[in-house]
Amino acid sequence: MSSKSDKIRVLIVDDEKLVRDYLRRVILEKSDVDVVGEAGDGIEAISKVQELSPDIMLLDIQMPELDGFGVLDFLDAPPPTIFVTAYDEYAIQAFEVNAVDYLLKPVTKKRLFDAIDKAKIYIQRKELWESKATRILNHVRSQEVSKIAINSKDEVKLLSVEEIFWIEADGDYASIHTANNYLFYKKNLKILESRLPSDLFLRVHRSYIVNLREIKELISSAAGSRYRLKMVDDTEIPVSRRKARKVKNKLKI
Amino acid sequence: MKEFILYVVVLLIAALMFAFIFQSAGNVYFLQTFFISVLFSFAIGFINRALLELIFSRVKNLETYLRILFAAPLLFIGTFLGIIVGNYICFLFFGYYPFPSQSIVKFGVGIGFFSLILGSGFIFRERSHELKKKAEIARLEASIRSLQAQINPHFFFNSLASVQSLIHENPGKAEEALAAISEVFRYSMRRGQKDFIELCEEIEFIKQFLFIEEIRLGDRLKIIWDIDEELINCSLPPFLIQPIVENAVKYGVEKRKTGKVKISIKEENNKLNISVSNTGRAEVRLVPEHSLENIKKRIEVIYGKRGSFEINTNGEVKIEISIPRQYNKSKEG
Repeated sequence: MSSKSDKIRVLIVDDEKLVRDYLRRVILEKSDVDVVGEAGDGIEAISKVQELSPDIMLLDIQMPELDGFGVLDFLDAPPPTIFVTAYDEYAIQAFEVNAVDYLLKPVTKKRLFDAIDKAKIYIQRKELWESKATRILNHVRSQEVSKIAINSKDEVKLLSVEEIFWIEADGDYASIHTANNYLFYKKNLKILESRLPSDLFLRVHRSYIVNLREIKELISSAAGSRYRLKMVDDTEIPVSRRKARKVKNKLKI
Repeated sequence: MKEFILYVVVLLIAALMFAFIFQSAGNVYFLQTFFISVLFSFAIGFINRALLELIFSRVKNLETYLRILFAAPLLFIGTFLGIIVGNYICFLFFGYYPFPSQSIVKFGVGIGFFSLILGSGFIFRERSHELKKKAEIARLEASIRSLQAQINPHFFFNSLASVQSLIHENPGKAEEALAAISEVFRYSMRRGQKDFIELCEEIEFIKQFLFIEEIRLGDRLKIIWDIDEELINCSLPPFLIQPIVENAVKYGVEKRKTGKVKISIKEENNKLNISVSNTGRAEVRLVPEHSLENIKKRIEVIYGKRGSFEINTNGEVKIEISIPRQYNKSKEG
């Protein structure tokens, strides 16, 4: 890996082997581009990016488990990315302004080559890509998800949001508590709050988000002005004064 | 029944009115006058009603004023007939004719006008009922149309991308796949406009759909069919089963790398029971606009309480639909 070739190193991410085969075959017709790897799902994509650090990523949006946006969201510094999508009006909206380029399936050779040529600019000028990536992520992060990718020991894992009991702020990061363990999540509570389904989760405190279904009881202090939540795992979580009413509303008290 | 009671009440009120008129004209026995009034009122009322039913059951979709125009001569004829019948019955009971033959024309015309007013009232009422019903049916049809699923656009573009790759690697298979995609597209366009299709058409469509999915997913997909052959001519709304199969493939197979989908269609107590099960976790969250939610709503709108939609997630995911066993009427005739 360390031997530097002059060729642009491409990673292809798509859940369909036939599509990967096609993209690889067409890309290899260009003499200055090399396909260094393929991934068939989001998790594999994350580990391939970390392992190979490609120059460009061709990224399918709709994939089982973790989708293309989830991959970008997880990576701290994703490579310049060309999106590949079958049909997704919402996604196209996000790309139109911010993407390096996006390709609609079935992909033509000319469009693919054009996109790679465009991406070359961003390989040299990383900061241009970074600002685009940030904007795409801001757009993406306003959408609720049902699963999030999490680094657990050495591997990337997918966690269904339903499995989460409660989340605690940990500096700029978060620790997510589930039935049997807690996981470290390298994003802050604010990002998590906007991505978790609002019918299921509530920010009850500057440092805490709870899963409403996993609350055992609402405990009020002797004076009656302070509240704590007892979760199913018997952890007690403080409720900030400002959020008390909202908590009661959500719990229909 | 409600309509009939209303009619009788209106006739009784009319009779009461006439009884008072007769009473004030100097007739002594109120009960007798009232009885006679009721008699005439019912005789005239029912004969007129019967005549109206007779023509309007044959001539439909007439404007209200045309209906009244048609009804007018009938109502006069009916009124005369009613008076003659009432007269005769009265003669049998009391031995005299309340309407002497020389004054029948005079009274007949008067009561005829009265009948026409009452009759027009009923015609207005019925017409507005009819229009309301029509509007309701139109509303239901519109909501069924709007719920009518179309084939998922992702599916089209993804399968075209697969064919694009196949053209190079396996031209024979690419040809077959293109034909299957065309079939699915054709079904999607044509059947989307129909309210009901035969089960065999939907099954054929699902088979073409699965053929394409098998190309995309390779040997990761295993399908088990269990269909009672006697049922293939049953009629059902189009796109009722395919989205469930698509969902099963999506969550049962695509997400788990390999998986099984079982499609079973049986009859029980004159109901068509359709079940689609797939291996894998229960991923089915019924969010709005989700294809499954859409099917549930369509069954509700089309069949009401006679249909059902259930999701079972014990172990494997199983979706069960039950709808009345029906055949397309136009085919039978």
